[in-house]
Formats: sequence, structure tokens, C-alpha cells
Amino acid sequence: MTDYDLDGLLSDILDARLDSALGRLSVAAARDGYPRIIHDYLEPVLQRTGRMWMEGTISLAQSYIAGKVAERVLEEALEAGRPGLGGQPRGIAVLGNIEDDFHALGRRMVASFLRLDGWEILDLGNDVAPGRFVEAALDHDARIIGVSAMMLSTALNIRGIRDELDRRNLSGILPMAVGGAVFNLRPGLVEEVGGDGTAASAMDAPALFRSLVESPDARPAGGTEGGPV
Amino acid sequence: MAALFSGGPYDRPPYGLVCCTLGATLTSAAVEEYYANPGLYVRGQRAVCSYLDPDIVFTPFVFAFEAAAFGAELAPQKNSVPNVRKPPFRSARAALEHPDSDPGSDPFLRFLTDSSADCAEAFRGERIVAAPIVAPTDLPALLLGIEGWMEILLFRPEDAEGLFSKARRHFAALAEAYRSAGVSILVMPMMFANPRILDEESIRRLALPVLEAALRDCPLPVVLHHGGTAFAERIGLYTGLPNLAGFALGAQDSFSRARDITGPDTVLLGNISGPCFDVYTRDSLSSSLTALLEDRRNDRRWIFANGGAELPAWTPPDRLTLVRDILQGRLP
Repeated sequence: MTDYDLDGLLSDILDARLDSALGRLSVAAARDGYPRIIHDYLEPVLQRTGRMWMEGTISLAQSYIAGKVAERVLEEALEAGRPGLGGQPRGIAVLGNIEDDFHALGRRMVASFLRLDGWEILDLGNDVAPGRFVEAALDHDARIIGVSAMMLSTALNIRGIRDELDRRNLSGILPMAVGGAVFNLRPGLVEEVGGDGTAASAMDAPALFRSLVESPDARPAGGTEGGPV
Repeated sequence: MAALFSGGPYDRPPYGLVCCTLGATLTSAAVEEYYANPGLYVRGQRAVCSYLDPDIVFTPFVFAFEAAAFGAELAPQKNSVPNVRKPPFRSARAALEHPDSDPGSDPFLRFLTDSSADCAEAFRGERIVAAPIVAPTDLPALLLGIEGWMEILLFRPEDAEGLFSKARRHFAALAEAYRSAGVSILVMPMMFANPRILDEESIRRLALPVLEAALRDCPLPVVLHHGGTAFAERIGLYTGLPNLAGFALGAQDSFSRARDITGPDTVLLGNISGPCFDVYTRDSLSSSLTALLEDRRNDRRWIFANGGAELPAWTPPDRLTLVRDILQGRLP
């Protein structure tokens, strides 16, 4: 087995040496293929950056660089015709910022990490009405909805999605992950807005999404018995 | 209150809560009109004062208006301050080529400074009037979006330098306008000078020189605000900055830790979470505040203020009167 320089890649990310980080991965991919370097090289380093974020020892900017590295490697893997995610496709996730919210950075970082984890992302962008999340999930047989909000006043608009899921009898079937800075500041906000779970950082989103869709009731939105109401 | 900032003794801890939009609720003003009419704003703050009787009154906490002065498209909110729907520029070059802001003529900045002047007139001699202001390290994020600014800051130092200069000119002009309006003190949240946003080495190299230059020339004392993340552990990064009036800590920060670093003479403000105020019961708020008072019992340079952003507009007024009664010793 090749010994990858995990510390070197981590240092490149933390010191914002984006080209150097991508160069390391590119050389390794040419030798070993994308599936292997993603699984054995990039993911372990991303897990370390995730832990460091939780411990408060790295900054948002450093996490952002980690997300950029993930996004670029995924693009290169796709261009090479080898998604190489080391696992099966996980299905479609609908992402967006809730109505009145315009803070896209967190959502885009989440999308990068989810793509690397095998998700196909339907990104609805900023300022998305609650009904549109559900419609999009149904139209594309999505397995999960992910909603972002930065401020309390906009986060409370997420309740509209839960109301829509309830109205269509999709609660418990189509999970809804919620996230954004305010969820880390206000305990109980996930329940308050009707979310099924949250992650403390973009890097933790893949684990959250997997756990939510692997719950017993979760199924693709368009595949519900009897169809949506 | 003035004694506190000037180093004199005081008989009880001073206090202030950021209740900008709550003033609209208390006066039944439509939020969009409230944030367009300085008369409505000061009427709302008078209503806040009738419940809270604070030592500090805040002028409009509407950073989106500083972006609007450069052409940002705004998104009015039903129950909160307006937000930026779309940053005004797609490139650093476009931002740099745009004329500098003019607080004397721009309608959005005029609203901020006219509201401040009205508050200063209304509360002169009774309360400190504090004006929130965007840090020069953060203004580019409002002009280009957070991601756009992050890219420039990390990977394009020449553009970053130009944007910092533009932001400093805006900060200087607006700070002077606030001084002319009669504002007592500026409150400056920090995002891109915060270790949770930018690593410490980058803060020292990129952000601190900009802040130092901006504060050195600032005509008003400045409170550095935690910006929504914990920063007590790293507060030593900023203690050497000029013209500082103090530090506003977040709800997750430790005053003891901050005090260890700053020493006994620095003013510290905080720290019950503002955005959680509506969910506190009277009992839980009373317990938290009493514990905080006990924790700060011997601290003569502490001001009670909320951490984080403003209190929700729908916060029950009895939470305000509870704060007033506890801090003024009206409760047994």
C-alpha cells in the first residue's frame, strides 16, 4: 500500500497552498487512480479537518480551502471519467437556502462535501420558497432535503417546509437536514423549525445525510406508497 | 455609565440590549417603514427605553445599508433588519472602480446617521448612544459576497489590498458622520478578523494592520464585538489596537478567561445570547442573569449586554422589564 503524505496535504490546506494540495493529489491519482486517492488520501485528511473544526483549531477559511480541494478533485475525477467515490451513488439531495436567506457559502461547501460522498446535488440556490423544496424533491425522486439559513429570522421560515411535508404526508419519509451558523448558536432550533437533524460543519454533512436516509422510513420522495398528496 | 468608559467607579453594572427591530414591534410600526424613517426608529427606541431603561441605546444595526450605499440589492425582512439580496459587485475591479461612499448624500447612510442624530438628541445626557459599524475587514464581504471576499483575501493579495483601502475610506467617512451625529461610541463586529473565520497567522498578517490603521484615525472609541463566534481565548490578538473602548463577548465566551488576558482595566460587555431571548422563560432568564451577576460581582469594568445579534422582534416585553428589574436591584 502506498504511504500517502497526509500531514503534507493537511499542511497545504491549512496554509492555503491550494495548488500544492491539488498537485499532490493529481500526482497520486495518476499513479493510483481517483477511487483510491479519494478514499485513502483525501478523505482521511478531510476527516482530520472536520475534527479540527469541531475542536475549534481551524478557521472557516481553512475549511473553505478543504472544500475547494474536494470540489476540484471531484471535478478532475469526473473529467477523467472516473467518479471514483469509493462507494455507490447515494441518490439525489435537494439543497437550498430558505426563503429570504442569501448566504450561499455554507450551502456551497456542503454541496462540495456531499458530491465527494457520492450524492447528486440539485442546488436550488438562495431564497427558496418552502413549497419549491418539496416540489423539487418529488420531481427528482430526491432522498433528502438540505436547507441552510444563517440568521434566526430566516431560519424560522424553514418551518414552512415541515408544514409542507406534513401536508403531503412526507414527514418521516423524506428527511430534512437543516444547517447554518444560527443552529450552532440557538439550542433547540432544529426541533423548532421541524428539522430532522443538523451538522456542526459542512464536513460533517455527509455523515448526517447518510444517517437520515438510512433511517427505516426514509425513501426517495417520488417513490412513496400511493404517491404524494 | 460615562464613568465606566472613562475609568471611574459606578454603583451598579450598566447595561444595554440590542433591540433595534423590537422597537418597531413595540410601536406597531411596519418594519420596512421603520428602517426608512429616522423618526419612527427613534420612537421605537423610546418605547424600548420605557420597558428596559437601558444605559446604552443602539442606533440601527443594519449593515446591509452600508452595502446598499455601493449599490447592493436589499431584501426587506418581515421581522428583522433588511438583508443583502445581491452583493453589488461581481469582481474586485468593479468594486474598486466604483466611487467611494458618501455618508452626506447616500440615502441609506443618511438613514443610519440621521437616526443616530435623532437618538443622540433624544437621549442626550441620559444614555450612551452606540452605533454599529461594519469593520473595514468585513465590508468587502458585503460588496462581493462572503465567498468572493474569501477567494480574494486568500489568493489575490493585490486586490485584497485595494479593497481594504476602499473599506478604510468608507469606515473613516462613516465614523466621522457618526461623530457629527452625536454618537458616543462605535460597536464593530469582527468576522474576517476573528480566529473562527480566519486563521491567526492570516489575522496578524492581513487583518490587524487594517484594523490598526482604521482605529488609529477613528474619531470615536470602538468596542470590538465578537461577531457571533467565541473569541475570549484569542482576545489578546486585539488588545494592542488603538482607540479601543472594550470588547463585547459572545454567549459562549468566558469572562474570566477574557479578564485573565486583558487585565482588570479593560471594559468587557456581554453575554446572554440575544437571538435566544424570546425562548427564555422568565425563570431561566432570571437564573442566567443572576448567575452572570454573581460571576461578575467584583468586576467593576463589566457592562451587561446581549451576545450575538439583536433580540428577536417578537421577544415578550416582560423579558426586558425583568432584565431592568434585576440589574437595577428592583427585585428582592
